[in-house]
Amino acid sequence: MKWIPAKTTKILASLLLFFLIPVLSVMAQQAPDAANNSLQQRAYNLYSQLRCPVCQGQSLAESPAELAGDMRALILEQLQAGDDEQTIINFLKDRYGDTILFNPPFSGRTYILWLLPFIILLTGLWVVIRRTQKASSLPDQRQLHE
Amino acid sequence: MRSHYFFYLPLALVCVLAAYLGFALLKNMQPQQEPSEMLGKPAPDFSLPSLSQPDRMVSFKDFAGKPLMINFFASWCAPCREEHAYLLYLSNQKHIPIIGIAYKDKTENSRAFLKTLGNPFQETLSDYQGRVTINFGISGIPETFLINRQGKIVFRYAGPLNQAIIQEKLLPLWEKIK
Repeated sequence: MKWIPAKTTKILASLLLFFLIPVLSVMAQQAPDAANNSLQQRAYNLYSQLRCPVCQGQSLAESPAELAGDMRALILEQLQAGDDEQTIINFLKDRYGDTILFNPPFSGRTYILWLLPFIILLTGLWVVIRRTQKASSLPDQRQLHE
Repeated sequence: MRSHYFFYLPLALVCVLAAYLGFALLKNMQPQQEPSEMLGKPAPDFSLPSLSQPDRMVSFKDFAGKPLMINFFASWCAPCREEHAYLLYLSNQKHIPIIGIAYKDKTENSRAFLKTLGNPFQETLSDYQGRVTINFGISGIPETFLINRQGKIVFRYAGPLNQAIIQEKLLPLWEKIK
């Protein structure tokens, strides 16, 4: 670099290092932290979707049971190993069935859960419509008296 | 008159549902007692340290081709003490080979437990990490499995074994697979 004096080049290089080193060190520190945070977040999302097999009303995220702790550790390990969420859910479903899911899929065993509210609602609507139709088809009481 | 029946139909449906749920509660239909997802599936492979010689790893493959019973227990588990006499009976009187898997139990505690109450297990293994327990789809200790010659799970009972379950289910099944 003939057009820049050697002294200036040294100063520029020193300045560059002076500003770059802290930036690079912060970036180096933050990169694994961000990856780790996103992994923790993904694990937590999974824990919240899965039912603790010991404390039935609680998710894996909130259960203090020892087995739930083992499952959380296993899920985190599987995520770290590169497994996706569906693979982990399938792994647990294969062992614990649909009851491990807080949102069970529509199946022969769960259809009553999904359909009953609609059946009751539709039956209720049907009864109301029928009664309204019947009431409107009846002759007015005042007309009868006249 | 017929319209009155239709009017009460939604109420009747709710009553039927309430009766069904009430019946389930009264019958103590615990989710743990539901048929296991593992029934009919090959027993998960495992490799666990032996309780007597922690340096020796024992694998499920070591029992290949033999029907056996697997019992998950722990010295800290009160219902395990309750069922222990039945395990001794099955092992000593009925000659069922039982593999005991100690779940999250300190080696010295498991050893003391078996020394005090008697050892019904042909082989006792330690699952301190709890991974094999999860692989078997276990929801609580104790749990018992029967495995046939093909290595498939043919019976699972969650909770302490009792006279009725042994006489009515476990032993007739064992007679079939032994």
